[in-house]
Amino acid sequence: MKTYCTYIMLLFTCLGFAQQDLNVKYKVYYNTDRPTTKDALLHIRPNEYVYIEGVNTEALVKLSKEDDNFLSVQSRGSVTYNQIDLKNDTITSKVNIKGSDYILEEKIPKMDWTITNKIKNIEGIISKEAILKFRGRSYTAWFTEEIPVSAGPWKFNGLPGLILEITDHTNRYTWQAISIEQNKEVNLLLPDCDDCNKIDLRTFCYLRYEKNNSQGSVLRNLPRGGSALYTPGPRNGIETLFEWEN
Amino acid sequence: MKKILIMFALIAGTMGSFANTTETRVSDDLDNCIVTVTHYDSQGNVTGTSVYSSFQPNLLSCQNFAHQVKKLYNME
Repeated sequence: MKTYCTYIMLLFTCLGFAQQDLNVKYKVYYNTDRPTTKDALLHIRPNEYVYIEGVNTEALVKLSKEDDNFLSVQSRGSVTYNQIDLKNDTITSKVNIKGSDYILEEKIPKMDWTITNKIKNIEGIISKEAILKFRGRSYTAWFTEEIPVSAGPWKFNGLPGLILEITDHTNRYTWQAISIEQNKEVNLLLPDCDDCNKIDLRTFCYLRYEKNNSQGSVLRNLPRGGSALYTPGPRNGIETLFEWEN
Repeated sequence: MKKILIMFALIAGTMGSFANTTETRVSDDLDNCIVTVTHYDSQGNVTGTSVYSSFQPNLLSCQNFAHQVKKLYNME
């Protein structure tokens, strides 16, 4: 957060956003059954927002000194991303479900934000409060119109400014921006997922919440006389309720 | 036979990957050897629980059964 002011000053001394790419780093707090903290990067460019989560941010963005127009993203472990394509109205996400990676494709969901009168100063940036109910969770977000891009972490979009903080009302999921940088146009390489199966939202819901999690290879190779019983966990992910279930 | 014989707590995979914990026990009367696997997603949410059971004659064979299950999950 300390670097906010510097970055903001830098932003407004440069030319407009339209031709400039923006990198926003977030700290992600998952206050889950096994609490987890992650680094994430939101890369904003005209007609596209790419949010990448799951690896050290420093390792994520490698702007080579030899070629500042080349940005590579290295996949280490299970890196996930959400790529919002404004032109085609789609979100492409790399998701990890029960140990397997998939590419989830969906239309950009409409988010019905309610902007309140509350204002907060976040490291010198005037931010407004907005409330959202989305896929089973309620969120409070703080966004700034000083950076007029309709982007945020994960799939969040649709506000008249960049989301700096957002928390779900159970405090299970929290995203906080920690720095904002401006870059020249760069090539963003997403983590490889060539072998990943493509799925839609309904399949995602089935795989995430309903499918038996006992791996087939485990069941097939159980010792003779062994048996297995699988009990799915509660709906505790970021998305717990889907449009067709309302 | 003792109620609780052994407990394993293992984390599979690398950063952000699928993680499991297992617990093994043998019931008093039937020598039913049970291995419980708890599945977590990369955000730390429990996604489900698998219980593997098999009748085993003694502690050693129960431990072997547990090892086989863990091996199948690449946890050993």
